Amino acid sequence: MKKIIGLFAVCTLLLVSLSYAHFHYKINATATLYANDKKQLTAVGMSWVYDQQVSDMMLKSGQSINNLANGIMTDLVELNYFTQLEFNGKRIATTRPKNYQLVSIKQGNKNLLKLSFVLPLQSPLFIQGNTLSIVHTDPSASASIFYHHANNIILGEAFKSLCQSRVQAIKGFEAGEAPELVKIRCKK
Amino acid sequence: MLEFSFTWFLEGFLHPLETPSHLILLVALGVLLGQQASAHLMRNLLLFCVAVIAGFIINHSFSIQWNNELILLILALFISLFTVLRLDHRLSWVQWMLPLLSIGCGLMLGLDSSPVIIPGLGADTFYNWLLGASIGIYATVMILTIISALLRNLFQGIILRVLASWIATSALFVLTLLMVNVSL
Repeated sequence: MKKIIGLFAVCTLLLVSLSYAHFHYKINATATLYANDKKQLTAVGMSWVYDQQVSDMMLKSGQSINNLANGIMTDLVELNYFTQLEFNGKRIATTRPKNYQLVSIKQGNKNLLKLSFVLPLQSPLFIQGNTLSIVHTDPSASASIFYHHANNIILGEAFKSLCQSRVQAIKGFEAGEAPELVKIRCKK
Repeated sequence: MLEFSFTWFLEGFLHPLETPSHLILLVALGVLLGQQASAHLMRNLLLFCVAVIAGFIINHSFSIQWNNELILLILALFISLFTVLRLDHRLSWVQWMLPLLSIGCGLMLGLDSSPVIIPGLGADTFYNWLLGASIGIYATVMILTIISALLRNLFQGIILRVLASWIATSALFVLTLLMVNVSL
């Protein structure tokens, strides 16, 4: 009996000592709206800065920056680029991203990785008089993408005078869910 | 070239222990298999292990949108009720019920285990996580089965039956929280 109780105690201690939270990481994002000559939305440019932990993991993975960039974009296909664009609440179809680039940047004494890509819309869209939402989710429940401030939504010349962006934190968001409500409301 | 990563292995290893519905089901199954240790224990454990891997593969290959957590908890509830009843392993229906439950649990645990994927480090995180999760799941069930097998005749098996009633209560408790939409 003593042996069994001992075994229980050892297992419990092992579990307690091993218990810690599921792996999460943060991405600080900036989005840029692109328009054509008719002032229709054609694409959304993304710029993501990975947090130090993930930047370090990638930099120490032994891959070149170009290989890493290709690997990231390949893996992101299955994860829908963590991004869902919604037009008045309905999902907008996008095509394969173009112009992607991964660079190492310095922020203070940190070496971080910054991924930029452009997510083109399948067909251009008049957003005047409507609302565009950007929703970032991670199906593997690890990444949380933050804008923090409306200034990180760059409206560009075409939409600057018409649209207003709003970033609202979502309280108690679950891992992998959108941490913020990102809306761009445009006048007619 | 895939490399072993302790970080992702540990992430996967701890996944079943950090997920309430997984842990409840693993404890329920371990206790039942231990209680019925005379009835083809090795065969049932082996079927369970194969079913976990099949669950991983199905989960990765097809996007199945089931309410996995609900199914896992209902399974745990049934299994613990079987343990409370302390069924006679010589009954023919118990002999086919045990392998079916082992397969069902393995499949559901595999289906509900989605690895951490960091784009760019995809293959490394994915395979190390799955390796950790499989070992975590197998180790938990085996340790619990061994402990339960040692306890199965103690006080005429009452300890295991009391333990199973706690597991049933825990499963019901988590199910209730799920129904009222409280996130865990």
